[in-house]
Amino acid sequence: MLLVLVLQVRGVTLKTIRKLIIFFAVFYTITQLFFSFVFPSRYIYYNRLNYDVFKDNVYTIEATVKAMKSTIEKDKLENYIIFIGDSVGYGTPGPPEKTMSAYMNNIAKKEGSPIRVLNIGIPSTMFGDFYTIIKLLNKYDISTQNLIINFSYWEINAKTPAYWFKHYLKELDYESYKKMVETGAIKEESTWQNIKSELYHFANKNIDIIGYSGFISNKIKNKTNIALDQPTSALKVWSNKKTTLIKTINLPENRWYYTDKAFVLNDNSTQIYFLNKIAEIQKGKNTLFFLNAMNDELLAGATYKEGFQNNLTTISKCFSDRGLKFIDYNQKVDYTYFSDFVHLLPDGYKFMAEDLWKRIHAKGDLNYAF
Amino acid sequence: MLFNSIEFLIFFPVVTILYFVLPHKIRWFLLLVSSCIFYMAFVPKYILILGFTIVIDFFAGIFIDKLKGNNKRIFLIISLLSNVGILFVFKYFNFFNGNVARLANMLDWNYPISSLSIILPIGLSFHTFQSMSYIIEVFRGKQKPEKHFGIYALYVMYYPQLVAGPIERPQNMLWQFHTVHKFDAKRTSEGLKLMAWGFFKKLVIADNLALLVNAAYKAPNSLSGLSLVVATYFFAFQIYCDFSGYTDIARGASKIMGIELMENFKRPYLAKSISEFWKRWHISLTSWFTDYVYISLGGNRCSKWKWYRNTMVVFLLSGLWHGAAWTYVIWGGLNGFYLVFAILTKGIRKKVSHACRIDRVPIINKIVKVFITFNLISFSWIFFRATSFRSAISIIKKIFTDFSLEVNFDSVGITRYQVVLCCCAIVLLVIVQILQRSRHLSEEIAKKPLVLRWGLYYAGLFILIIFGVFNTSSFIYFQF
Repeated sequence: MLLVLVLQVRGVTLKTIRKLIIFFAVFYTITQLFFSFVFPSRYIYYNRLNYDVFKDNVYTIEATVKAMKSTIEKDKLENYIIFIGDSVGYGTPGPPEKTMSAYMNNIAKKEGSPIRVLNIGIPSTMFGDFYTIIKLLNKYDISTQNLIINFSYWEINAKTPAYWFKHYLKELDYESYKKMVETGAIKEESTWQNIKSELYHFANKNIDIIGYSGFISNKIKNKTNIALDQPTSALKVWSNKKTTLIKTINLPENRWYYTDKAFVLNDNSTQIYFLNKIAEIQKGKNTLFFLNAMNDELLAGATYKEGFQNNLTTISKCFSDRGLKFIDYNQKVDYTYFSDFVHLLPDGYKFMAEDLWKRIHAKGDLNYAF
Repeated sequence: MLFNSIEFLIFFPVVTILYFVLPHKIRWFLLLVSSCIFYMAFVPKYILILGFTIVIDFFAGIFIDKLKGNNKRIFLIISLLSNVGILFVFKYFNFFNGNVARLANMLDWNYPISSLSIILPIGLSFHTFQSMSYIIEVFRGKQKPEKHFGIYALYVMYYPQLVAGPIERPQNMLWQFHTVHKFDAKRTSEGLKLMAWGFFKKLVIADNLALLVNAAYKAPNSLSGLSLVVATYFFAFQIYCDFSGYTDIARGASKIMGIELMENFKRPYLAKSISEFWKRWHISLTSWFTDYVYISLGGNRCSKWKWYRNTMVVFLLSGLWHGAAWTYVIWGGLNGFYLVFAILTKGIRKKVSHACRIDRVPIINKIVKVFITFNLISFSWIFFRATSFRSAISIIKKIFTDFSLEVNFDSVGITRYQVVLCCCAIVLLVIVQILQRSRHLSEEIAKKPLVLRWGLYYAGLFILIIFGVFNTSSFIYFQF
């Protein structure tokens, strides 16, 4: 009030301020209505998260979760499985229709099963990210009664607990966030950085034109590229790019992907901390973890090393000790299915989907009772 | 602090509101403190450099006014040396040292001086030139020295134009800081619109073009000659929108507070000659060199050879002003050469256009001239943008030897959508610029019915949010 009074005394007409407020209020109202009633949710979530948009703006995860929620409500889904995971779960390098979850949906449809698999796999995610996603889904009342989580060999040994969702972890489980900061696993940001993050978060959450702008431009981009016959990179089997792949995996920064150094997966490990947290909130629910297969042919000796094999045993034990359902897909996937050292071609994902479906649909086996 | 950052989104309204809340006599203090905060958001310690030159120039100005003859000149020299010295140490030392070291190496001499590991202070060339402008004007008796230290410091540090100009003159700025500026709704509206257009140019046009240009100039060998021509054209528009966008935001922000900054660009790519281009491009720098270097050397009121020499000196210095690299020097030299060549061939060109009868159709004549000027300027941009002289030469070689008609950026990871988006952005800019030649668009829009007017603004805002690049990229001219 005082500020307004002083401004008036100084000759600042309230008319100008009022006009500005009305201008933005009208814009806000129109865009909110547009995104609530006109903008299709499939532009945000179609078989999986839109990674092109997400990687530029992590806060679009909430728009994605809302779109998942709207799909569940619109399709009146009761039996659904949430599929959380890394780039393998996401379906890299294939299109959204050729992911494990999409293939599982095809099988379900073919068999007349009402089950739907909703994929929210995100490349480069760790156990801290998985846990935060579960918390976020629960916040939006999306059930994680049936859950599949996939991860890769090196991820369970990573020092970083959360690659993408530090901000959300802080919001959804401050205790865990604080613990990670105390152990040095998460570097606390400066006060100003925190304020900035809060502002971005607020704007993305409450101003739809900001939260959804990436999806619009992405849609326009895709449509334009299709109209202009933009060539897309063809999916290639790993053996067609063997030389490049060998060069890449041998880079010092990439060797941790298949290290044979002993994994220490005790309660001091940040990943195990979040595995415990997941086990805690998923208690009594159907949760299946699976470890992605590695391309033995490409990685040659690395996956057969004693240390590597011992680590696989350690990982397996880690889940059995906690009474968690776990499948290790190593040496179960044919090398011709790989597009690189860990990602699969569509046929590989189809194979995985069929295998997973068999396991979860065989009543009693994994206690997935639909 | 970048204009296209969340910090500025908070900083700007807070400073502007406080400016109008506070009484006039302490507004200078608010603006000075704000300018310090604005500058220190980059590298805080470099404010000391600014402080050093401000103190020297402030007192030098006072002494120059009081003294006469050689004593007066001594203070001018002290001031200029301190400004040029700082510029040399921070911007040019490594360049000159590197060249001397290379020469010594070629001659097998032992050269012991190593390079300095320092970061170039943001906008150093801008505020140094503005400071020098003050001291020269005081020396020439065209400007009374500023007696208020705070106001003088503000003249150098005024935040809207501190890091990328326009390089103002004391005659245009100092009195404005002393004048009481009341809030003016119309002026505020104009300022906001100017800022919005500046943001549009930067975020929608320049930053989208930058994605393509950066990719193309990073791997020129994987592109066809025509693709490189397109990338170079795009760079011409990128640098224009980046720099003029900054100027528009600066001018708009300042206008709201009642302080008018000079116009720095007047639709330069519609220029019909190189000399006209330089009267329309970075006007504040061109006029600085004209007033303090070109005219001091004798301008064009001397023998022809001296005239050519003066032109070349100004443009070589202008190139060096932009950056301590041979590519910038060549860029400047090339523009100087264009001008000298234009003077030399004026008669022949007139005869050719008469013989071709182009001069009988003014519109065609004009289009041809604009086209040639734009291409010559774009050609010179290759040296400005290329990462090295060698890279510039390989790009030019490719352009003039690879006659494939294919325009394709797939190999550098640029999709067709991105190319189309860039083309649309340029077309929009050109349309606006052509319309602006004879009409005051902002005023015309202001007279339209509310629904139409707001509809237009909303469309602009929508495009800005959807197609703008918001990952806080810096402005090209900050590095100078």
